[in-house]
Amino acid sequence: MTTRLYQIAELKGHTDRVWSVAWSPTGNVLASCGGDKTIRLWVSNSDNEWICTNVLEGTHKRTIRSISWSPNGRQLATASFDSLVGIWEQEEGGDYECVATLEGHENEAKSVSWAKSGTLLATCGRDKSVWIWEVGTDNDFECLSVLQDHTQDVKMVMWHPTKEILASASYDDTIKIWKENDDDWYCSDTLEGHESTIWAIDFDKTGEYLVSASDDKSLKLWRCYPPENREGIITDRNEPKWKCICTLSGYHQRCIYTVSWSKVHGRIASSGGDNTIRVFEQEESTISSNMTDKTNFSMIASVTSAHGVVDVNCVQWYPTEKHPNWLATAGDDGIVRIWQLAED
Amino acid sequence: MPELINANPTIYTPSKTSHRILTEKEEQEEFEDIIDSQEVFDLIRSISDPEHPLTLEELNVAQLDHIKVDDANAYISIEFTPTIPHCSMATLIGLCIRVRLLQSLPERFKVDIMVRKGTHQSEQAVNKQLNDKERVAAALENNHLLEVVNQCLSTAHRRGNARR
Repeated sequence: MTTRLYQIAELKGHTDRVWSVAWSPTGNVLASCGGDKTIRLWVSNSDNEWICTNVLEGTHKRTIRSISWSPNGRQLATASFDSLVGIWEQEEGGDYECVATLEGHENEAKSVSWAKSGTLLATCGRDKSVWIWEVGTDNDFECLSVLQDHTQDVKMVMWHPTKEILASASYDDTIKIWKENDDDWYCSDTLEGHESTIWAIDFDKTGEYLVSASDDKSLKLWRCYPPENREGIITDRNEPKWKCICTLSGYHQRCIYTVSWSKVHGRIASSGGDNTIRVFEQEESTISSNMTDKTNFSMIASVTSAHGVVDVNCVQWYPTEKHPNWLATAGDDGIVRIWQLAED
Repeated sequence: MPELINANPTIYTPSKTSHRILTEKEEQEEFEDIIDSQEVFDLIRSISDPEHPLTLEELNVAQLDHIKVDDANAYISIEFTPTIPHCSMATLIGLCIRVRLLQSLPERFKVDIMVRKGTHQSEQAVNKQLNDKERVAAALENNHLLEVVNQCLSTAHRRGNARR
């Protein structure tokens, strides 16, 4: 029996490179954004045809780099090279309106992530900073903290799946973990090991593990060891310590731009400058109650030339049990594709 | 006039213009052109230097021998040589080369652009920036920077031929 990825839909409409895609929390809507300064929303109808239901435009004056849904699915946040973060809300008629723009970043905003509680938003950018925003009522967003510990561009921010813990990935080759103590946000750990820019990060469903994708052509898996852990990993200042337990190298031939860790089945998908989507699964012989440095992932499927001859910028697993094997991708060809992982 | 970073650069005589002798097969319209290092050199040799009325070839910034093309694997690597090790224009020159190739080469090519090893004091930083597609994309949305790049590229079409 072999596992393979096959394409089930090709979504055309963007007129420039697509940078990001994001499934709504229920998976009913797929949002995409990119170099044409628009956000497109895609829905599949009863005939399994994919239709672009909304084009959100007019607010951002430059590339829209990243997009994130609020956990209740009612709002969208966008980060743009024009330095602004846009907040979009669906009106009664079904149209979306930009209800707020968050100013603060000095230049390109590169990533936005909505915390699972719904009450916090994080953004980051070329100005080397990470911003934490409080989501108030009536679209009132207040900046709680500006974190400046990274020494270079911050490429991506991602919230923990259950707690108010944030991870950020940077051009300075490190990942930082941010926590709050009495309204004070601080860096609780710095993850070092990658040899070049880290473009993307994602947590597993428990939040105890993190995967990172780098320009050094490798993926790394990191585990969080709490203080007084059984494994005897030394922790500092009573903070958990993140440690790399597995490096996946020798697969991607060029920079890895994106990685997604399925919260449903635990498989990891990645892609990037080698135009190839790869899916990794934990090897059965290494499955135990916890992943350790003996844990190994092997590649179970791949698609070369997934977007023709160009880069793949984003991969995202479908978020729920409904279609856990669906994967959405965004490419430099301006197309969004949906794939299914199947065994035959 | 602002002070030049390198006021007296060494000027090199351009090599002969390449006059390709087309084979009968190459002249047929359906023939798919294979890209080689000479073709890539021809595309970038006449880009103007940002601070002198000279081309990258005349300043020895671009050299044929420092271009590697693997057509079968659609891969190109280019090393360029800044005129002085502290040249603050190095990133801009690299950006010009990248934009020129983005505009001229078939989409299938992946291009790495680097400062020739040992020729710039911030070699690693320049290389990292030039090969970060997000930084390049953002730079190209900056109208002021784009204007400077286009100015440098306005001579690129000469492909080593004399000024017209």
